[in-house]
Amino acid sequence: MSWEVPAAFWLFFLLIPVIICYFLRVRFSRHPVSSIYLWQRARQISGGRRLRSFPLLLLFLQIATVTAVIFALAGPVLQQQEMEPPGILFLLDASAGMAAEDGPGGLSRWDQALSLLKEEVAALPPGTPGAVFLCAAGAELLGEAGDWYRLLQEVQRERPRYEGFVEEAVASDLELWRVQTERSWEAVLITDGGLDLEGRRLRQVFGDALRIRQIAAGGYNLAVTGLRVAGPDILQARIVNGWPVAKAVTLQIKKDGRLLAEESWPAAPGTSYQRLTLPEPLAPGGYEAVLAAAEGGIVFSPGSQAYLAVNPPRTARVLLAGPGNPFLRAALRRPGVEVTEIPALPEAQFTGKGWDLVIADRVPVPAELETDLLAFLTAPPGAPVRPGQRVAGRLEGTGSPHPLLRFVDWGEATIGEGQSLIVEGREESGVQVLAQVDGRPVAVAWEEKERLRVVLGFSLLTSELGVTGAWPVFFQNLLAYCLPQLTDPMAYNLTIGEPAVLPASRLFRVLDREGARANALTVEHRGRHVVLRASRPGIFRWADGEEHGVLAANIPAGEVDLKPRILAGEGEKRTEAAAVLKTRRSDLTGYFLLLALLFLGMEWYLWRNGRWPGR
Amino acid sequence: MGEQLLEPGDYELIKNLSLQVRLRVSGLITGEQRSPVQSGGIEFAEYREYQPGDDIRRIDWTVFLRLHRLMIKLCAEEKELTLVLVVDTTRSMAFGQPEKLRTALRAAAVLAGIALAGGNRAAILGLGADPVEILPPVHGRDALFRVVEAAARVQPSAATDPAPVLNRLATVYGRRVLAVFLSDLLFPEWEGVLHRLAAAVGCGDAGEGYLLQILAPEELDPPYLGEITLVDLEGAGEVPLYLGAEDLRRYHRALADFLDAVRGTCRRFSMGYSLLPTQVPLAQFFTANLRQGGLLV
Repeated sequence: MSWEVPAAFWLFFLLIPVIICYFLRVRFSRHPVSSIYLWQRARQISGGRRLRSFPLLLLFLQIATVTAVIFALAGPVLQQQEMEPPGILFLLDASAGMAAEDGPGGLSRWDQALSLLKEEVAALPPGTPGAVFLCAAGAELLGEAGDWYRLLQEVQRERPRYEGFVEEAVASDLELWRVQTERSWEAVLITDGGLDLEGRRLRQVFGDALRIRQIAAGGYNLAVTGLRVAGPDILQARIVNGWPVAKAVTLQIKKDGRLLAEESWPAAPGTSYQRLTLPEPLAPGGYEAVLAAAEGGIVFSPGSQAYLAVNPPRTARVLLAGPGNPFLRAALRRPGVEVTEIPALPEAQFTGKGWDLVIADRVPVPAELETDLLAFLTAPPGAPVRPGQRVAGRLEGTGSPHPLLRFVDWGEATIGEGQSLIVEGREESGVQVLAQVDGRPVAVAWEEKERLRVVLGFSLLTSELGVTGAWPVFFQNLLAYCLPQLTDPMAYNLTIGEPAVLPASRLFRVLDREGARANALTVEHRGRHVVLRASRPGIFRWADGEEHGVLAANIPAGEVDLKPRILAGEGEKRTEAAAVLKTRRSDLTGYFLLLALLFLGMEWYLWRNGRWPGR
Repeated sequence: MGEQLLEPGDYELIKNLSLQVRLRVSGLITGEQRSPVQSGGIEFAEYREYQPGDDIRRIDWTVFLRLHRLMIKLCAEEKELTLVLVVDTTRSMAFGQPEKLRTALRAAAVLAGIALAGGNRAAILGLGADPVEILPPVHGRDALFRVVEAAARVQPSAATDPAPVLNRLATVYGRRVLAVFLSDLLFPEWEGVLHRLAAAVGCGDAGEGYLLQILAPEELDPPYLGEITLVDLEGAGEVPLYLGAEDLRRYHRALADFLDAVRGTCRRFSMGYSLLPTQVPLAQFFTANLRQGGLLV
């Protein structure tokens, strides 16, 4: 036993005054009574057993109580060392490709993986600790083995996900879990070889204790993926032919179940691109590409369909208020941006409804504004910034990770005349400084009521920013932030297993074709954005207040290519994970405190009753 | 001093209560109590044969004509009662809150006041060190002041042999008195003292005795717990004890046995008995307990 705070033993000196006080108290506890006659009679009844030494027993118990408390304060720790054998982790590849039915007799890769797992478990010594993880876009703990039979039953109920194998995410999850368990582990990865980092990242986690069992698979498959818009009435798809020879395939394009185009051709081995011209221009809606093979070369059915969401072209409506600014006009002169210029914003009851972005160039901003705002030399009422000193000089970045600063290099721009901005309550308001001059903020951004507020302490007319390369990049970031579908036509096309962040209000919902809330997508609201995660492929509808459109979810492109990769250290098991000499530390503080309570209780009982129970 | 001993309510007690005496009293002054001497009164008592020396005027000639024997007609004469208050003034009585001695003296003064108000005599004897006679017999309503003054002067004293007090009670006051003994009786010889007191007064015969046992709350329900050394106020020694709940239960049992023994002894000696805890208001005790005990009406 060791002590974490041995200095606590100095408290034993406190016992000396305790003992002295105790005896002093006993000595002076004399009570005059009119007569001891009755007490002597009482003593005759009790047989005269009240001993003078009895108080010493109480003193002993008091000292024992204090001693136990001091021991508890000293932090008693019992250390035991023992050899702990390594546990075993089974990492089951549950990526979409594992559903491919290219095994012997049409057996799926998943079924083969389960057979390998059973084989491994059967070879384990009894009582081996372990766990099973399903690995795809992350590592999902299926269960820890106290009972391998039950765990295998649980595994059999599982199916492969529609996600790809994201090795980095899997490795991170496993590292985190392993730190929590404080044990050495051997790992067995059962996979078809579709690891995006070829097992190197997992090897970093487990080192030589990782053993990979790869399912024998040829990867002969035909698949379609990457459905894209290639023209006003043209769609392009990527065809993957895993066979060593050209295969006759037919590709159909459907919209809402209606066949729009069909084309058959011999697909060359490897990857090729195929364009299909539609009989009508592309209209908003969900498009589906279906691949069929004449000779049955498709072993992975989810890979024979690809989806595309086409939403109506969105025009960004920008309200430019101010005395006129050629730099702003030039920046806004671009396709998809509709600009309305007014000399000043209405002073009251103006919410900006119907506008995607309001630019206030040196004009006051109404308090009720409920849309995104870019303001020059002005700020809305109640803003957490106020004008400070006059500044001039070169613009400097702050290292902020704000998305408005993506690829923005302020270094080229200087300010001739501007005002610094004093930020009040930066922590509470979430204000981020975008640029500064001489360490004083001159450009800040924050979100208020889920709307973006960007305030610049200078004008484009009094600075060189408008003629530098930083301005168009910054403005492009601003538009992308406020209206991402304007800049990214694939914004509503999701890849399963990868989160998609979209600007949306609290009303944003995802519905299936029947209009019910879609269970295949999770929607997580984060401020003015939603984070979408799809768990199965298909076309879905979204609605956000009065706006609505379609969403498409596809399995990762890498998963349709079933050709196994050569994995790092495949099939090898170089060393076994060593047993770990583990030191178990048992904190005995609680026991000593319990002991102190016990002594205290005994002392109280004896003091109160003057005898032991039953005597 | 007297004002401090008696409280305003005590004068109400003196005014409203009176002694209830079952014996015939003797004395020189006519009072409200019946005297055992059948002589010059007007109320017929009994007959007895004439003896030489008797007043021949008391011979009932009607009886002589009928029986041919000389019979003396005795009439009960109203004579005054002597109330002797024997107060234990030993140091053991100087204990408690309020002090037992003060309670005893206050009760004695009130009883004396009641006796005087009824036209009787009252005297106070101290059962302790000198002086034995705290107050010689006095009578008259005006004598209450002397009673209170004498009682207020009493100080606790060391315990002494009770024989002189009891002898004086027997010789000076005679056997035809009402003696009220006020004491805690917390001494081993209590039974002997009661016996001698009853004999001196002639309890059950010519005199009448009453014991007012006075105990403090600390004696009825001791507040002590744990290790303690009890010191006897009268110097009878020290008792080192460790007091637990069980010990207190034993004490209470011993106390109950003791009180039962005192009651039994009083019954045996034809003495009245009442227990006066000092925390009980005197008015309540007098109007309830002493009436019930037959000392007062």
